[in-house]
Amino acid sequence: MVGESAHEKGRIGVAKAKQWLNMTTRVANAWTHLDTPMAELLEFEWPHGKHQAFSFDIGGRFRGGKVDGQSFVAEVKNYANESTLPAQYREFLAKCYVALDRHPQRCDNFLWISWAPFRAANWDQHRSVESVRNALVEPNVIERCFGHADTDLALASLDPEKLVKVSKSIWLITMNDREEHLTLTREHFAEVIRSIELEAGS
Amino acid sequence: MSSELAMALASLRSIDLADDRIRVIKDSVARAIELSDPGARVSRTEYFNHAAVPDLVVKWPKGEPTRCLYLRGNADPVELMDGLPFIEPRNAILLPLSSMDEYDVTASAKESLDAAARERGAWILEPAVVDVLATSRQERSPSASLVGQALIRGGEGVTSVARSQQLIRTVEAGFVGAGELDGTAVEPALGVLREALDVRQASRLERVLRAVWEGNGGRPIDFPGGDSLGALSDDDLLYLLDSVTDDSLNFWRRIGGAVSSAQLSRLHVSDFSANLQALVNANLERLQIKGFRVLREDVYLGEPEVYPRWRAEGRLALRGAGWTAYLAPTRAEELPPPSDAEALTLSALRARASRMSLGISQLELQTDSRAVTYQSNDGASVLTDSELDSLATELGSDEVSSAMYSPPPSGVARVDFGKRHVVGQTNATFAAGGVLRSGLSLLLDASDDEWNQVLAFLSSGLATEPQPLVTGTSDD
Repeated sequence: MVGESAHEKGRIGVAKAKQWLNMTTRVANAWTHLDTPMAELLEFEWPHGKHQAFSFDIGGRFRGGKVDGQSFVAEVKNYANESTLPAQYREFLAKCYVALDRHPQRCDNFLWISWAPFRAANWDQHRSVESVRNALVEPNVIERCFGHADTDLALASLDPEKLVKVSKSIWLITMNDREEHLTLTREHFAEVIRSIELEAGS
Repeated sequence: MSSELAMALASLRSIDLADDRIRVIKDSVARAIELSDPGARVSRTEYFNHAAVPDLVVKWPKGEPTRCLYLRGNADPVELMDGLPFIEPRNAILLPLSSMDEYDVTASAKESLDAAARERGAWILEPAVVDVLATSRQERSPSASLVGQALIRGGEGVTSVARSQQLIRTVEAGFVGAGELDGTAVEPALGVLREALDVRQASRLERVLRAVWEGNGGRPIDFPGGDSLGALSDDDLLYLLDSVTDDSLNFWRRIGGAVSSAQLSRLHVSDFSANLQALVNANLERLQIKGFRVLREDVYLGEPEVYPRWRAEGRLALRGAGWTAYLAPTRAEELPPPSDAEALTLSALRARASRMSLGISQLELQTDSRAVTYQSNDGASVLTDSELDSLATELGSDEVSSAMYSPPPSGVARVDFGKRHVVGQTNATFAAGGVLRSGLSLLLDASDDEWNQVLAFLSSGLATEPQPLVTGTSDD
C-alpha cells in the first residue's frame, strides 16, 4: 500500500484530519487512502524513472460557498516538529504538479495538513510559483519528473500556467490537538448537520 | 457469489471520476436494499463517507422508524468504533465497503464493536451481507425473505456474512419446526432473532412463528418462546402480505390458523396482491363467514386485469369481471347495501344449480303482489318436482325470489336472488370456500368459461400443490 498506512501515527493523523474536514461541514465527500473503493483515486505515478506510484492521504469534494463542488487531495503529516517536513513539502509540491498534469479533475485543491509548521521565516513563500518550480528540480525528484537530471532543460519544459495553478491551489493548514476543544461540541455539530439534512430534504 | 453490489464494487476500478464511483456505490446499495425489502424507499444525500451525515436514508411507508445509512470506506473495527459517537440518530446502519476479515483485530475488539453498536441500536454489516439478503429473497424460502427484511428494518450489532447465513438457516429451520410443532427447532430460531434484531422486529417474527405453531394445532403453552407477545396483529399481517416473496400456499396455510375473515376485512392491501390471493385461497376452507353479497361493478380505469381475484380494502371481496362479491365475516349487517335486483326463472335456477349439483330444499315463487313458498319436509331437493312447474303455471309466474340449500360441508343457507346475497340462518357461519362456490354458482350470471375460472380459483386451495392464478378477463 502506498502512503502512510504502515505507520500508526500517520493513521491517527489521517483519521483526525478527515474528522476535522468533516466537522467543518464544508466537505461533502472525503475518503482516505485506506478506504478501499476510493483509494485508487488518490494514487498517481511519476511520469519518468520507474514510474513509481505515489499517493495522497485524503481526497474528496468541498461543498458550499466559493469552493462548492471543487475536488481536493490532501497530504497529512502528523509530526510534532519540523523534522523532515521541509523536504517532504518540496516533494509534495512536485507531486501536486504531476497530479494536476495527469488528473486535473481530482486536483482543484491541494491541502497540506500538518501538526507542525516548518521554515516559518519563509512561510509566505511556501505557496509561491518559485517554490513549486524549484521543487520539481530537486535532486530526489528531477529524474522521476523529467527522465533526466538537466535542471535548465527541466525548467524550460515546465508549463507556466500549471505552475501558477498549483501555486494557487495549495492550502497550508496547521493543526493543533488542543484546537479540537474549541470546535463545535458533538451535540451542536449534530444539530447543524440535522439542519443541513433538513435543508436538503433528505 | 455473483451479485449486484459485489459486481458494482469490483467494477469501480474502471471508473475514473469520484462522483461517478460514488453514484455507482450508492445506487447499488440502494437497489440491493430495495430488493431485500421492497417496502423500503431509499433516498440519497449529497454526502459520502461523512463522519456524521448519512449517505442514504431508508424510509418505510407504514410507520417503521427511518434508518440513516452510513457508508464507510473501510471495515477497520477500530475506525468504526471511533466513528460511532459521531452518528447521532439511533438505529443507524453502517455499511463498510470492505470486509472485516481484511483487518487483523482480536475477537474481543470485534465483540466490543458489536456491543457498542447494540448499545446505540446500530447495525453494522459487511457489504456481502447485503448480497446474501437480496439473493435469499430471490432464491430461498418466504421465511428467509422475512429475515432479510427484518434485518434491514431492525438489525442490530455486527452481522458478518457467516452470521447472516447462519441466521437465515436457523430461522428457516424454525419455521419448518413451527409447522411440525418441533420446539427444538423453534427455540434456536427465537434465540438468533432476538440476538440479531431490535425488539420490534424480533417480536414481530416471534408472533409470526407462534402463528405458524398455533395454526398447525400447537398448544400456545408449548410454544418455546415463553410468554405470548400477542396474536398476529393487523400490522403483522400487512407486513407479511408486503414482505413474503412468493405466493406459496404452503406458507400461507401455516399462517392461516391465526387469521380470521374479520381481520382480513379490516386490512387495506394494495390491489393486486399475489400474497393476498395465496393467503385467502390457502385458507378458504378454514375461514368462516356469515355470507356474501354480489354487486354489479364495472371495470374501473387502471384496474388490474386479473379475474377473479381477492381484494381487501376495508372489506374482503372477490372481484370478478364486472362484479364483486363482498364477504360478511360475522353478521349479515356487514354486507354492503344491495344495488340491483335480478329476476331468476325456475329454469335458470335449475341450470345454475346443476353447475355444482346443488339440491334446493326450499324456494319462493313470486308475482308482483304474491309469493308462494315450496319446500320439502325431509330436506331433499325440490327442483325436479313436476308439481313445482304446475305451481308456477297456476301462479302465473316462474320467478324465484329466494331459495334454501346446504352449502358444503354443512349448514343451511338462504340465497336471495333479489338482493343477490347468501347468508346463514340464525347464528350460522360457513366455511368460506363451500358457501362461495355453491352460492356463486346460484347467483352468478356467468358464461361456462367464466364460471369455470371462478370455480378453479376458489378451488385452488383444495389441491395439494398450488394452482396458478387465473388471469385475464373472460370473453363473456
